[in-house]
Amino acid sequence: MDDIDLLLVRELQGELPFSPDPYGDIARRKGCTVDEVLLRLQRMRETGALKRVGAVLKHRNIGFSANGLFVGLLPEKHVDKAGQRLAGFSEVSHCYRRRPYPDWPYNLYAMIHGTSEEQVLQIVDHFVRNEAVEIYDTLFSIEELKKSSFSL
Amino acid sequence: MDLDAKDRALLNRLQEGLPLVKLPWEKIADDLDMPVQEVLQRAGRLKQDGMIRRVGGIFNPAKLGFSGRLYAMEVKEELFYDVAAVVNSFKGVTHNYRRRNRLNMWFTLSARTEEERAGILESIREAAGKAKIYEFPAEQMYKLKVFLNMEEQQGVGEGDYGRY
Repeated sequence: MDDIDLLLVRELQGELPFSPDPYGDIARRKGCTVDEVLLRLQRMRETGALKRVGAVLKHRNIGFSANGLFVGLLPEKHVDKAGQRLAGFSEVSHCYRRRPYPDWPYNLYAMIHGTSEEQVLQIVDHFVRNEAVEIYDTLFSIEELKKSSFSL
Repeated sequence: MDLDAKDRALLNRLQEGLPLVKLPWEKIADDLDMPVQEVLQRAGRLKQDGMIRRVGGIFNPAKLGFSGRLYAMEVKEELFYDVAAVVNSFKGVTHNYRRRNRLNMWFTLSARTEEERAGILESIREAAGKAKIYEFPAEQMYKLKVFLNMEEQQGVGEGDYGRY
């Protein structure tokens, strides 16, 4: 990544112009050619620095009003398999094994999105019924305090 | 919320991403069998109506030299919004949610160095009356997929979270 790449990262952290030729608009603003912009973006995508240029939606406004963080405790030898199974639900966006604490003993975490809390809880029920989950909880979000995109 | 089938198809297509080509909206228009002007108009309206948060680059913080982690705290009710303001003031904090639980504040923090991270966490801890901050580094990732399926309302979501 050089300085021009960083300039492009900063540019794309904002909004892509809703014009027929958005990368050309950026190129003209930065004083380079559209081919160079595209080449650099393609390179960043190959290295994984750029996941994609695309839309991020507002969950709540499009019907996904329930957002639950599932937390569960599974025996060490089952957690990977269970995590992979939980990851298979289309309603699950994030699924991780994380470090437990003595007063917060959960080691499996998943974000589940649904149109209602009931729908999210149905997914949780379905999952825990078939796995060796010792204890679990679902923490619904009740307020979005901040949501922004990562930026340099 | 009044979304027709074309809006839904467009929202799904835009989440997958615009191609890195000279006329990316033309490609989307072709895929959806709509004139490009209509695609741009619809996208603009969906943005204006608050269905689309943004259309732009979605980056992987880890590949840009940052490491992201998830945190949670039990914040006293009387301090809650003051603490939220402090947490939110840091650029590295991209998500912060109030959740119905003893641990009522959950946020993500990306930082370039451990020193930077420690400094930010100390400020937050001070603001929260020295509350304990639970740090939840990811030990294993099973899934990180951004897609809210607008064409089957069973589908799902995420934001453009990094790896936390």
